[in-house]
Amino acid sequence: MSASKLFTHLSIWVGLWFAPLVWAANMQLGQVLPYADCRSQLHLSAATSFIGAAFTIASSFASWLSSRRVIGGSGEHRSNADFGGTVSALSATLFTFALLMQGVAAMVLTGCEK
Amino acid sequence: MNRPATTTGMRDIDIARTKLTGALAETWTTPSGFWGALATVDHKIIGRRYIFTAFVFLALGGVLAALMRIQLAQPEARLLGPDRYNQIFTMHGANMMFLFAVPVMEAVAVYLVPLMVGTRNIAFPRLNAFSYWIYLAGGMLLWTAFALDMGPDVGWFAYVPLSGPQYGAGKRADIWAQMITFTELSALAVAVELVVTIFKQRAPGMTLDRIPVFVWAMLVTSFLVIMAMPAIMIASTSLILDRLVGTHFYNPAEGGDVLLWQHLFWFFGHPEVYIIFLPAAGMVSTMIEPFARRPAFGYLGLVMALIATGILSFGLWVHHMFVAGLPRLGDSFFTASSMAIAIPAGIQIFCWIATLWDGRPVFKTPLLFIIGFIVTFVIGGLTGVMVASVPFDTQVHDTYFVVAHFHYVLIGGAVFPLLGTIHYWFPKLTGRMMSETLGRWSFWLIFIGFNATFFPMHILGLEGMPRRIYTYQPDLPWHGLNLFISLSAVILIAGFLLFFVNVIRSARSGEVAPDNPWDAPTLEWATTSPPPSYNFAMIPVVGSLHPLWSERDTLPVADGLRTDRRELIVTTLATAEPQARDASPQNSIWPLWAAIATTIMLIWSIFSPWAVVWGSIPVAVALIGWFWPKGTPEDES
Repeated sequence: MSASKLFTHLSIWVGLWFAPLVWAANMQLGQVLPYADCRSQLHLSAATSFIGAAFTIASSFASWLSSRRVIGGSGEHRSNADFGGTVSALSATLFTFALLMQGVAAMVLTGCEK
Repeated sequence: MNRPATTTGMRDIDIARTKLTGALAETWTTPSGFWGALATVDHKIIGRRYIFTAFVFLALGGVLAALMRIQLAQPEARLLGPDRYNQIFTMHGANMMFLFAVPVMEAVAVYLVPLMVGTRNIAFPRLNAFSYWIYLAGGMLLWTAFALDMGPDVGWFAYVPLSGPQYGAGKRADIWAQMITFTELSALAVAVELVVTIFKQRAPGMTLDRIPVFVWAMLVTSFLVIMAMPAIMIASTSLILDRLVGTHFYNPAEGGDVLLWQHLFWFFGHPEVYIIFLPAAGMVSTMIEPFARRPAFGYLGLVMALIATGILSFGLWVHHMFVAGLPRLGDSFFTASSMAIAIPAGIQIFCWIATLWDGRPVFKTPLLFIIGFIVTFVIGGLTGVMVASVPFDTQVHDTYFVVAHFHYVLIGGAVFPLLGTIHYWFPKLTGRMMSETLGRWSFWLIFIGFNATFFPMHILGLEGMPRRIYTYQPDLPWHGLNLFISLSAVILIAGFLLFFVNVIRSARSGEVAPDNPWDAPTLEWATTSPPPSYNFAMIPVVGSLHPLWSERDTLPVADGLRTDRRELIVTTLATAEPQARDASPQNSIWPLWAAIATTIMLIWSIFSPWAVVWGSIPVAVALIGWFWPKGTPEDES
């Protein structure tokens, strides 16, 4: 597989592999950062969640745009690109929602509650 | 049946159609007799065995549930003592989760997925045979131990320190832990087979957007199994090490951590719920089409929901640990994920409702079970959102509210679709139709009996009745509801008995089924009922998501496969373009020997750590025999 073809594949499916990675990383940070939040009285958990949400929504757009580019071209397998791009974009949007919910929850709590 | 290797080989295009099926049957059919039955690698035979065995375990688990309900019907009942009751609720949970729910979903997939993707056998068919024998051995270990009063008594999650060396005397907890090893080994093997089958053996033309939703569901489920099951295998193995060798994984006094057990267990345990639910959701999405007489609404949304649910399921496990004392901020992240997962579940439910709304529904028994599933699963989902909230969960933790919730999710979300599945695919399993009259009666008895049994448990939980108590005092306000629940369970049991009667009666003397009795659109209905040993005389070529609807008269087929050896088409991952012809292994007795050797090693290792050393020798011998070239045409690359 050529480098450009690999890049196209990765970018079409980016919403499906990158967004879950960001969400999973934020889940782990959610276990670690509450202690720092409590000590510093900063909303670090909220910040990481919102930054993560920005990344995931960007990956959603990237999936969508990449698939549209393939569909607009003359190459084969346009239906797969359409399918992959849409599934990835929708999945990334769902992870964005989860991250936003986590960010809002982190705004409400201080990190000191047990 | 060993045949000499040939270099040229006979192709299907060289043979007249009338002789083709005979040639294929000679190559693919399992020899009759005892030895043939033990050595078979036919996915249909193994799938049927798996399904049958899983339903036997369901019946046994149901007997335990009935015993618990008799015990709890009256305060201070004396039918069961506390020790036996502890064993019974542990056996019920472990049996239903590890020996019924997960295996039966994989079993249905073992039978159906190769047919639905249009191939002749599952990938790694000998591993498939091995997985069944290992599963059977694990189940027999658990039930034999129970019969000998050695059944585990530590709950289906076996929390430490209760299951550790300090409090878990005898071998009861070890039996639980080793049963886990058996069943997870089996589940992992099937998961790998399914992933490879779906990725590499799809019929030409079955691109990603033409894969049936059930097959998508099994693909996602298989990845869940592969990622979740190692956590519980590590947990159960380290528990045995703590108990047998004296390691201290879970001993805080020596630097271990009790909470580590809960994290490992629930990292597996929550995805486990979706390992059970996602196949059921896939079954519903597939079954609903012929009964709504239109394609499922929102195919893309359904697939996205399956994938997203699968991934999100790994971020929920701490909601089982809300009272474990973790920081509330960390808990809130899991609350957020637990609520977010309701969205893909909701997408699926709205897609099913839209399919029925816009279709012309035919209310046959499978559709009744689908509707029963939607109703009960929505109730279970709503209480799931309730217990995802930390303050509420703290109040109802370890009460009958939770018992009600997870039975709504598991029976509503998995057993109802599964019973619909049996009615729907029974013709493909046996060649006969199930009785519609008995099917309707069993549905209504199960639906009414289930709701009357489990809905009042919500109220019992809110009234404070804890789980896992073997009796209660007469002055507590739980007596009336418990009696009502136990009486309602009789209706539920009657429904299941009627279902089993229907299955046995229909398998013996039911109406003979045509190839496609429901006018369904997926490939398994393109072959006979039941399918021949080679599944398809010619491999179908797929041009749409609903090949039997879009190409009703003549389904295009691929040719060029050899008939004198077991051969199938390997296709590319995304676009399913033909890539190669590959051999599929012949029958072999070695998977059985390997399973027997593994069983001896695993059971022996409950008693001595040296079993792993000495027991691995026969396992290695069996594997060498398994993989040793046999000089058959299938050995050729």
